[in-house]
Formats: sequence, structure tokens, C-alpha cells
Amino acid sequence: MTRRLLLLALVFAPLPLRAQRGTPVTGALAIALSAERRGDLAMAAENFRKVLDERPTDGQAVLGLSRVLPAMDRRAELMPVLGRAIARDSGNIGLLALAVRHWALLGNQDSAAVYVDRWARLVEGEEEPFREWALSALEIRDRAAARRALETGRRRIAHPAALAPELAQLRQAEGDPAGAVGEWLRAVENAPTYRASAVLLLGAVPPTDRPTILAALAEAGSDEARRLRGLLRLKWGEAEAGVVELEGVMPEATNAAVVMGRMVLDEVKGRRDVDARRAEARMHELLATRQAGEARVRSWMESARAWADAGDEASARRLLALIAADPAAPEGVATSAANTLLGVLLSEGDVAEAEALFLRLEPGLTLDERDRDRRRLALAWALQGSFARGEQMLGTDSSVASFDVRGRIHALAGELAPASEWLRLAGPYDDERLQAVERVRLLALIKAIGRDTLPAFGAALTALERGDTAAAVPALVGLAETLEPPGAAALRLFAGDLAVARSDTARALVLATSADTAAAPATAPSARLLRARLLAARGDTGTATGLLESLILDFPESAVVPEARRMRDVLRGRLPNGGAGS
Amino acid sequence: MSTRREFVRLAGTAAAAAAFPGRIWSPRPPLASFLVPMDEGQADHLKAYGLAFRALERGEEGEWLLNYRSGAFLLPASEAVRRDAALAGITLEPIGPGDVAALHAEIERSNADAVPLEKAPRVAVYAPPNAAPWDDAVTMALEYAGIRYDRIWDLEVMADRLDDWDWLHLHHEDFTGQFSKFVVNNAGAPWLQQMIELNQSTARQVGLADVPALKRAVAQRIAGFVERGGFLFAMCTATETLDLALASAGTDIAAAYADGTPMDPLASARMDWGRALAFTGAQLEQSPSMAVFSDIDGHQVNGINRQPLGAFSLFNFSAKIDPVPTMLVQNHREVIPDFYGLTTSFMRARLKPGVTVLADEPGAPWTKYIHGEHGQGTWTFYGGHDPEDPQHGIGDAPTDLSLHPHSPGYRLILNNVLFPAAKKKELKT
Repeated sequence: MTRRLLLLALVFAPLPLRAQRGTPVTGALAIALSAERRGDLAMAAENFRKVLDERPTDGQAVLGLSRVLPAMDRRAELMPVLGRAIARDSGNIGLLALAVRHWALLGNQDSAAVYVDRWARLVEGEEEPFREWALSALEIRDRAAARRALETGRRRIAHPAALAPELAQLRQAEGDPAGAVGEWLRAVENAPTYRASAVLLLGAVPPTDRPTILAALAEAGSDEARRLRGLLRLKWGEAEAGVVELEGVMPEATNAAVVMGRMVLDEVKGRRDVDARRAEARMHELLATRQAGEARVRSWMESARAWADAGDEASARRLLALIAADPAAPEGVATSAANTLLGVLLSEGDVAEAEALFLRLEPGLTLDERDRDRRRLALAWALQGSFARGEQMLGTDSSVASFDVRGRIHALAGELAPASEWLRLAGPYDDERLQAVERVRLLALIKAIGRDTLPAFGAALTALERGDTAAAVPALVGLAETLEPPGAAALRLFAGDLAVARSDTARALVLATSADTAAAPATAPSARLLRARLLAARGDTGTATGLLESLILDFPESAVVPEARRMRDVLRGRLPNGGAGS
Repeated sequence: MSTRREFVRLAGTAAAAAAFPGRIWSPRPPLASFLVPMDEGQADHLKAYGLAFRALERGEEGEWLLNYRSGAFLLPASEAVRRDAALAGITLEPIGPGDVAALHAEIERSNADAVPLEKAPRVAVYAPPNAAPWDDAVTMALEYAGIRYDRIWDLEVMADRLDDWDWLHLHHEDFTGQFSKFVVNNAGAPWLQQMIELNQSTARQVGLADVPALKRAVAQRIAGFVERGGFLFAMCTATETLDLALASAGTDIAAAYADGTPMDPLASARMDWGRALAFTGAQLEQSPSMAVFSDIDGHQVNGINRQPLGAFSLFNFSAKIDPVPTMLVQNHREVIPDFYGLTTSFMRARLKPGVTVLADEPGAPWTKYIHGEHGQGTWTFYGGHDPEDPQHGIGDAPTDLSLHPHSPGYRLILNNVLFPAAKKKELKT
């Protein structure tokens, strides 16, 4: 529409300008414009006509009449006026465009076609006459006429991609996603700048149409089809699979490849899940193959970080090694790579090599960085069973974070009394909220167990810290059998939470139910909340709601009551589900 | 519904009676009760309305203590109320018969009043069948507070079933039938297509030519409902467009995409404002693509003269002389941050004489919250879309009211829901 108005403005521009310079707007034209501003459309029309009686091609009068007559539902009266003007000035594109538009809006597509033909002869090979016709037809929701306009245009221009974006949108609006795919492919193969539009518009189809689109693209099989397929899969949530599709079909030209790479990275920006991180890592690595020097090193670094975040330490190490060996790596990037490598080594359990790397890096680190890495190493040694070496790594660090690590080291050793002391000293606050929550929970657990030493508990915690929940859960359950009710219930609830994390909801429900006992009043509210959550997830909202109500009424002072109320509201449909804390 | 309107009429008699020694109406004999404070001491203001509503549904009675502890409720000290409040996290204060008597005496001496709450009103929300509860502030408030309501739409209205309910809320509907004027700028959006198809098929179903004709017929039935004694509450664009639809009988105010013909260019001059509830003399927006309806709205959120948000202040009324507006403005905050909607506010110059302004922005030419009578019933209009989402946009995440349990903006909505429950039957004699 904007383009059409611009076209008309350009075509008629000389006329009003001439009028302003030579003959000021006076007489009938002035009366008409003034009447139009007042809303007296009948008088405006009458005076525009007077002007056109004298000067049938006057631009301002033609445009004025084409505004006021349709507003009075008298569009048909405009057509003889336009016909007379065109007879006088048959090469005036503005007049022809008006004729096309208004015939189409009147539903007289044959007359519109006549003027499209005359216009097209003046601008051979241009799409505009057909686009004007089609868009005008769409304004009155005449899709058949719009299709006729676009197909006529394609035949006339004799180019397979002529008007393809418009035809693609029409097909999509007609519920023909496969047809839309075909048109978009023509458009993008002819002009790759349409790729972003194709992804945007095809990406917005209802989920039920997605398989049809992916199948049509797979069947087409061209490089461009694979690119669209990859970008669409990415848009629809299959990030890594989308990038894998793109790997073999990145554009040859580096600039085009970088533009596509940016499209991918923008799409996954803000997503923190493993799939998105792996997609990001692959794309950075892919971009690095088109780059050199510092830019390539930075892409490797981004890729290594993303691989490490996604838990693929081997891939991260492979890239970090490339950076270390590249003389083009700037100092800051090299340090950053070394830090990432330290994290990777610790994740892999190669503590000795990690410590050696740390000692090499230590002179260049700030005091805070030094302490942070020492704490990471201390915990890593403890997880290997070298508790003394772990404590030794902490040196004279007297920060809250170091108290926390000392407490954890003692807990891993099963020395619960000193663990409790250090954790209490660390307190309930931390820069990292999750860290603080975990600390408070561990402290509560130790308090409920009520023993000074319990090596079996330390062993279960160690298994857990190593990520081996499969071993940790039965170890905790077995240990619970040997403890008094408060400690036993706390351990069962802890094991229940771990079972939830492993998606073993049946076991989690059994454990939560056994932890919900009057003999352990400190644990019972949380255990009941977990039971309710598990039952709700299973679809048993009635029982879940009953449990939540009993929790609220039996333990009104419990810290979990607000969460219970909130979950009850969600289950009863009183709050939107997305806001549920469950 | 025949007695619904009586409270409003008789409240005037009550005002007169209050000016003379000895009340015609006196509170019930003091019993042990639960006071539900509505000042800063309340843990969940919004759910407290639901507590009162459910007590009435169970057949219990209560009192709404206007201007006392920010509009507290006095409910019977029953096990059901205690349990309900505990589950919902609502603050209750148990008080003995002596305290109740002292409380009534204090109310008698001050600008406060105790209004009996006797029967839960039958609540209906006019909303499309495919609308989620989270699309609309009122349904969100009703859901969160736990107030039962029925959802109705055009078919129920056109079947003349409105008298089955006491209180009607209008979802943010566009009664000009122009699909909130989103058609040009959101063409092709699936939600818009769905909205258009649903409305068009409903118009066909009831034998009307197009959506503007359907919405005008619905608006006229809603006005009839109020005239016969119904309570109407509307927010956002439903306020402005309801009146535009009512005033436009015989005039085409809809764009061509809605009814096939363009808006009458002289529509503003042809409006019959005598049919409207609240507004008069407005100039209509002619552009079919600008999501602005007229110059009734002061903020014009989608217009070229968009005004920034400020804050609005609630008016103080005399509880004994003006109990109805007093009920509607009960709140623990007097100044509330403003929030946009397709219709955000109401220009003072466009209000009909006799409209009661309940809240406005000091120094601005617009009002926020207005109330009036029509025939035997009343209407209340509240500008804006969501009091806790000041810049709400299409597709935004729904507001989670558990994060706003003290929302003063939402309290105004719930005042309206409970208002029809208040009756002074003693005055009927």
C-alpha cells in the first residue's frame, strides 16, 4: 500500500507543484479541498468534477475525487472520469494505477485487467501493475482475482520467480502450505534476500502444517530447500537438528554464510537448554571455518564455551587445544580458554592436571579469581576422597564461600559435626541464590540426622556430587533405615527429590509418602507438598488438592504454605498454569 | 431481578434517614464474628472478596464496613469461614460480641457505614467462548478470588437471557464490530482470523448481516438489561464502544472491512447520544487502520496523540449519604498507578451530566473510573486493560495475581462484584 501511494505521489508530483508555482490553488479546486477538509464530501466531489471538466487530467482533482467518491459509496462514478483522463493522457502511469485499483475494488476484474495490460506495456518486465491488481483484489477478499492477477503477471513477465513472494503468501493464506513452499523456494533461489521473509512467514504457520512444509522442502532437495528446512526446524525448537541440516549447505560466499550464521545465533539467543547450546557451539565452529586470525579464535572460544555448557567436554577440549596452539590468539582469549579448560578438566575429574594448569595460570590471576579456582580444586580433591588435600587448597581463604566449601568437604567425609559448624558460619546468604538454598538444605539434613559422624552419608553425598544419583538414592534410602524418625524422614524426602530429578516419579511418591509422618513434623509439610506435586503431575488433581488443603490446615506456620496455596490455586484453575510454582 | 435495583433507590432514603435522629435501619444484634480487615493488615485483599462472596453463597450473612479499616468485612465466626480463610491465606480477626457493638458504635460516630451483605449476586461475564480466563482483568480477579461466574456471549444475549444474572461484566469487546480495529495492522494473524470467523458465523447464526449489526443488537440488549435493574461493569474498550454502538443506531460507524461499506464520513454529527449510557458529543476516529475509536479516551494509546501514564486518585464519599460510590471506591490506597488499555480513560468533556466520577488524575482532563444510573439499573466503567500490567500488549504473558494479592487496581473491580450483594431490606417498609 505504501509503495502504491509512493508511486502515485511520484507520478502526480509535478502537477501540484506546477499549480502552486504558476496558478495557486483557487476556484473550484480550492473549494473542493476545503469542503473535503470540512467533511462535506458531496460538495468536494462536485467541485473536483468542475476542475476535471476543464482539465480532465488534473492530478489533484483526480486524486481528490478518488478519495471522496468511495467514501460516499459512489466509487463507480469515478470510473468514467478516469477513463476520460486516460484517453487524454494514455501514458500516465498514475492514472492507469488508479484505474486498476478502483476497477479491482469494484469487483470488475476484467476491466482491471485491461488497464493492467496497458500499464504493463509501458513498463515491460515490471511486476508493479500485477501486484497493484492483486493487492487491490485482496482488499475486497477476492483471492481468486488476486491469484489471476499474479499468475497473469508471471506469464507476462516470463520469469519463473516473478511475483513469487506474493504468490507464496497467497498460497499460505489459502491453506496450501506445500504450494507456499514452492513459491518461496522460487523467490529465495532467485533473490536470497527473501530468505528471512520466507522463514518468518513459513515459521508462523500453525503447528499442524509444519510436517507438510518440512516434507515439501525435503522433497525439493535443493541446497536452498535444505537451508530453509534447517532454519525452520531451528525456529520450531529443534535447534541442533536445524544446524546439522545447515552444515553442508552454508552459502559459498563468506558474507552470506556469516549472515546465515547470525540468523541461527539470534534464534537460539536467550535459550539456555542443552539443545540450544549445542546448536550454538556447532554454528560457531562452522563460522570459524570461514574465518581467519583473531576472528577464528574468538569463534572457537565461543564454540568451546557452548560445548562446555552443553556438557560435551571432549568437544570443548578439542577447540581449546586449537586455541592454545594458535599464535593468533590474543592474550585475553588465551586466558579465557585456559579458564574454560580448567573447568573442563575438573568436570572430567582430572584434578591433578587441573591443579597443574592452575599453578601455571596463578601468577596472572586476580586475587578473587585465584580464590575461586582454589575452591573449585578443593571440592574436586574432596570428591576424589582426598579431603585433607582439599582443605589444604583453601589455604587462608576466610570468605563465606570458603566456609561453605569447608563445610561440604567435611560433609563428604561424613564428619557431620564440623560440617554443620562451617555451614552455619557460612550463613544463609550467598551471591548465588541456588548455592545458599543448597547450603541451608544440607544443614537442615545434617541437623535432622543428629549424628556427629556418618561416613555412609558422606559416601552418598559424594555419589550425588559426582552426578551418580542412581547410586545416591538407594544409599540414602538404606541409610534412612538406620536412623531415628526425624533423620529417616529427612533422608527419604531428600531421596524423593532426587528420584524426581531422575524422572522416577513412582519411587519419589513412595519416598515422599513415607517421609510424610507425624513422627517428623519438620519434614512432613515439604513431604506432603512433594506428594501433591507428584499426584498433580499424574493428573490426580483431586487427591493433590486434598493433600495441599490438609498441609495448609495442619501446618499453618510452615514455610511451604504459601507455595501450597499457590499450587492449590493453579490446580483449581484460579491462576494461569505458566505461573505455577509446581 | 425485581428487587436488585431497590438497594440503590432505598440507599437514598437511608441517606435522608441518617440525617434524622434514630436510624430506620439498625445492625443485627452483636454476635461473635470474624473481622476481615482490608487495610494494610490484610494478607490477601483480593481473596478476601471471595471469602465474603462464598459466605453469602453458603447462606451466611455479613456486613461490609464502608470506610472502616479500608472497607473491612464482618462475617460470622463459623467453622466454614475460618477454614476457607486459612486455606486461602486471608487474615481474620476473631472479635467478641462486645467488640462488635463497639465497632458499630464507632461506625455510627464517623464517616463510615455498615452495609448488610445478604445474597451472592449471580455473576455473568460476557466473553467469547474461546477466550482464556487470563485474557481479561475481571475474569482473572474472579478466578483468583474464587468467585463463581457464568460465561455468556452473543447467543445468550440475543436469546434475551440476560435477566438470568444480576451482574454483568463486559470482556474488552469492541461493540462497533470492527474487531478492535486490529484488522489492517494484524492482517493474517491466526488469532485475528479466528476472531473474525467466530463473530461472522455468530452474526449469520442470529440472522444479522454483519458483525457491526450483531454487536449493536447486543449492545442494545445490554442497555435494556441495565434499564430493567441490572448491574453492568465494563473495562477497557467495552466502555467506549458500548456507548458508540448505542449512539450509532442508523449510522454506519464501521470500516469497510467489517460490513463492506466505509464508515459514514458524517457519522460524528449523526450520533444520537441520548441512547448512550455515559458519553456525549464525541468525535469518531475515521481511519480504519488506527486502533482508536473516538476522542472519548484521553490517552489514545494507539493514536498519534498518545498521552503518558500518570496516577489516578479515588474520590472520598460520605458513607451514609452516598453509600453506592463509597462501596465502589473502598481501598487501602487512594492513589493508584494508571494503566493503558485500548480505552484508558474518559475525557471529562465527553461525560454526560449526572455521571459520578469515582476516580480521576488530578490536573488532567480525563477521568478513570465512572458510575451512573440508567433506568432501574447502574453501570460502572473503569478505563484500562490490566491494573497490574500497565502496558499490556497482544500475546503478553498473563498476569499472575498471586504476585499482586494487594493490588488496589484490582480491588476496584471486586468492589463492583460485591456491590450487588449489599441490600437494605429493612428500608422496604
